[in-house]
Amino acid sequence: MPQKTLRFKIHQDGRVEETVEGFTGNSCNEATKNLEDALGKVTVKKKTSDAFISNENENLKQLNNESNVTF
Amino acid sequence: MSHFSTIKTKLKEAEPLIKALNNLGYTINKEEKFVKGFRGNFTAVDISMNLPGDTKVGFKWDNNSNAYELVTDLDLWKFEIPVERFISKVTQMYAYHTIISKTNEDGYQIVEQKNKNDGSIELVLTKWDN
Repeated sequence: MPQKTLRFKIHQDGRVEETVEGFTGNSCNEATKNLEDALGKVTVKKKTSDAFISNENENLKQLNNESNVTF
Repeated sequence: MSHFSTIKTKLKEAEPLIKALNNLGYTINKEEKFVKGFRGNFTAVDISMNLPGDTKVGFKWDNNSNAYELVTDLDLWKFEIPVERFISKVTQMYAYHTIISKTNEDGYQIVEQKNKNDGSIELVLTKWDN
């Protein structure tokens, strides 16, 4: 029973940064699709740290850095 | 898998927009559905309000952008904050109410909410998978 976590930073101009954690496979995309549709237009979308198990180290390093900057 | 997204918020639904306006302390005029501008021109809107300073604003559904757009006569703008700041505040609060309502429908609960010094709102919501 993993815990699913949604983190949001709602900027003063209404821009929303969303981080979705604790999902398996592609279910994280489905989990927030309705919300993203209701909010507006997704301008940037990236896989984050625990999605990298099967990804290359290069991507891992780059995306981890970006995640750290944001939160 | 997890992801990180940035979303440009658009005012796409009436319910969270009305909640946002109420939350910010603005009173919606339920009887009038128009905004009166300079020289007495009227524009039909879906939501109409009088801001303090007798500034008239409304929101009108726009089929091109698929969202509600602000209607006001900028020559008559007397509200204490500039119109850009007003739109930002409404959009931020719209995003907040949309997130709360949609995640609640999916069974998430708020575990943390912070108003940050930079004016942003941070929210953390969780649910346990069955």
